[in-house]
Amino acid sequence: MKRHVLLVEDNPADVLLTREALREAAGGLVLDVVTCGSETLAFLRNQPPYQNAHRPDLILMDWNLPRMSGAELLGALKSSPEFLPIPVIVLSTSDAQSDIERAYRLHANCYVVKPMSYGEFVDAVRAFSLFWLSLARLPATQRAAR
Amino acid sequence: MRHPIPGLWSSGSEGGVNDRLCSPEDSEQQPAILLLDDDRNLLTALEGLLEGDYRVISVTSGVRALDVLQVEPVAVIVSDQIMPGMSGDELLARAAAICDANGILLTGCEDLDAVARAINQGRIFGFLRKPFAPEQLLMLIRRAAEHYRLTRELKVERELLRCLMDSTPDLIAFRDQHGRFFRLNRSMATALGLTAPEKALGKTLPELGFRESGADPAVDRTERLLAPEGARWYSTTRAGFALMDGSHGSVSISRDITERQQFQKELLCHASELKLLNQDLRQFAFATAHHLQEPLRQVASCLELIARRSPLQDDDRQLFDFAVAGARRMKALLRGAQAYTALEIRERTWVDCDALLKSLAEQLRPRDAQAVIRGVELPTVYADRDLLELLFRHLVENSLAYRAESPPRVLVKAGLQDGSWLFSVSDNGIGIPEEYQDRVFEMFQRLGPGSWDVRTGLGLAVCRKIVGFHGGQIWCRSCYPNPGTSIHFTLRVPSSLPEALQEPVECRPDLAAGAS
Repeated sequence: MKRHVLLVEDNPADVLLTREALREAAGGLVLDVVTCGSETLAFLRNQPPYQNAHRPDLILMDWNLPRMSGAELLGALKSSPEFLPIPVIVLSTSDAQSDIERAYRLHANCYVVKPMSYGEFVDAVRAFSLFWLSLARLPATQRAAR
Repeated sequence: MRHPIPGLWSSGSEGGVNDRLCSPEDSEQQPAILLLDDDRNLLTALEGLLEGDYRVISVTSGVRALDVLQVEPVAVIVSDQIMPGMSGDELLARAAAICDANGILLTGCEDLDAVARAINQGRIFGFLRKPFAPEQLLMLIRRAAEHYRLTRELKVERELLRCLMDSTPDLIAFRDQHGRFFRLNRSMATALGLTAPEKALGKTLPELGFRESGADPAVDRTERLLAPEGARWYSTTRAGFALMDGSHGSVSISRDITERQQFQKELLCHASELKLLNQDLRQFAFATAHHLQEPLRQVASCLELIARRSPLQDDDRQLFDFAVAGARRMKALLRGAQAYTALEIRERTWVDCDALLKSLAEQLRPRDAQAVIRGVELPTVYADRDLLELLFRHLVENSLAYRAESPPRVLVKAGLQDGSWLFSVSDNGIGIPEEYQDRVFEMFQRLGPGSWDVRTGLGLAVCRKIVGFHGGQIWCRSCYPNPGTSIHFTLRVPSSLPEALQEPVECRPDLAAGAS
């Protein structure tokens, strides 16, 4: 069964790079993309236009988001009993301790600093994909009800 | 030596007594007595009686007496009533108009009317009817002189008080227990919007249109008076007092601090503005450095993805490598700038520089096993430990990075100079040309052709900032092209510290004594 990954990212270049890196490093998964916090919540709740969205096995989210910030989105996800079990990996350019600490206090499952080069990024994607999509056992996901 | 005056005004030696001043050297202490009689013998006898205790001035006419009074401070005038030209009571009346001397009249029975008149008009202190005993006169003179002294003292006190009240710009007011003014100075009157102090007498502040501050009467406080031209601020000291008649009141002294208050306010405003501005600047610098890294990563990553998708020719490969290296370097610079702007003093403690340098040398050993890093008698200083470590790290790392052919040797020394610790970090490296010795402390200035990837040219700028935080200065000496660079910096020794922060004293006198 194919794994479903939801990417929350507003920068098209980063979407492309992440998609490319996931294809290169992990392969065989379904990647959905939303660009902001409210879209993410709508996607997870199967609200229009995401009536047919599949509940993701893993969420990759950018820390630097427009409108609702990464921290706010993370807080919303982890305070919801429904979405709490979905592992969330924070991808961020920031290596500031304050950001890292904040993310983990909001129950991020993992905080990854985006590496400078694409090669290193592919390595990073490979590493966390291997862990979160193969090694770690995740709760069973359900296809959207409708 | 007192002797009775024989036969009173009995004739003695003739003439020979001129108007004169006695013993000027003790004029300061001794009260002056002016003797007035047309009988020179009597004057001589009286002089003998008074000399020693008083400074005696003898004259034979009323006109002459008035002349003396114009120029001499006289305590007591002793005058015969019957005088040619001007009678005694007339003289004393005229004297009262020009001086404070107390008058004593000597009379016979026939002059009692004149005496009664003089007493009733308050112009004489006392009178003696002839004949009298010398002790009687002495007693009367003593009392008159004492009265004169007290009156003078009171006058001086009053004058001093008036001087004080009139000359000070402070507002002084005496008020009774009902808050009514009974004495105030001109400054106070002006502050109350009155043209003269008298206009406030007997009135309370509310009656004059001002709000009563209701202050604790013995406390120094700042209060506001609403003067006609607007509110002014005063720092007021109050004291209560009780008068002999059983009533009590308060005295207040107020200093106008409106301008000081305004300055203070402006200063506070400026300080908070500056703080905000500084905060803003730091935030800006930090955010810029932070957010600029993201597009940079994008540029580098996309370039790399292009290269992966379509392998590059050799020439293109080199260009590509330059582009990626440029992006990497920019990232390093941004990170450096970020660290630079984030520098701040967090906590000052006592830091043992000797231990600090030893641990640093230990950490740097893997980088260059040949390097010798040595400190000589380094002090314990009051500083931010993390910043101080960063300072030494940058300086020593520079010495290792810009080494010459021979193995690096770094020597750190310190000494007290003008109330500051003067440190020097000297090496045997390649040195710095003189024209660059000031510039190396600016941001992004590099000492030499170090590795492009890791050296950002911020190290010495960071050092300068850290030294500045600790109230010191940093400079560089190098005898280029002779090998070696010396970086000197000062750290201010704090002048006073809370007790708990004082450096522990390790020398114990009992042990020292036992060792000898």
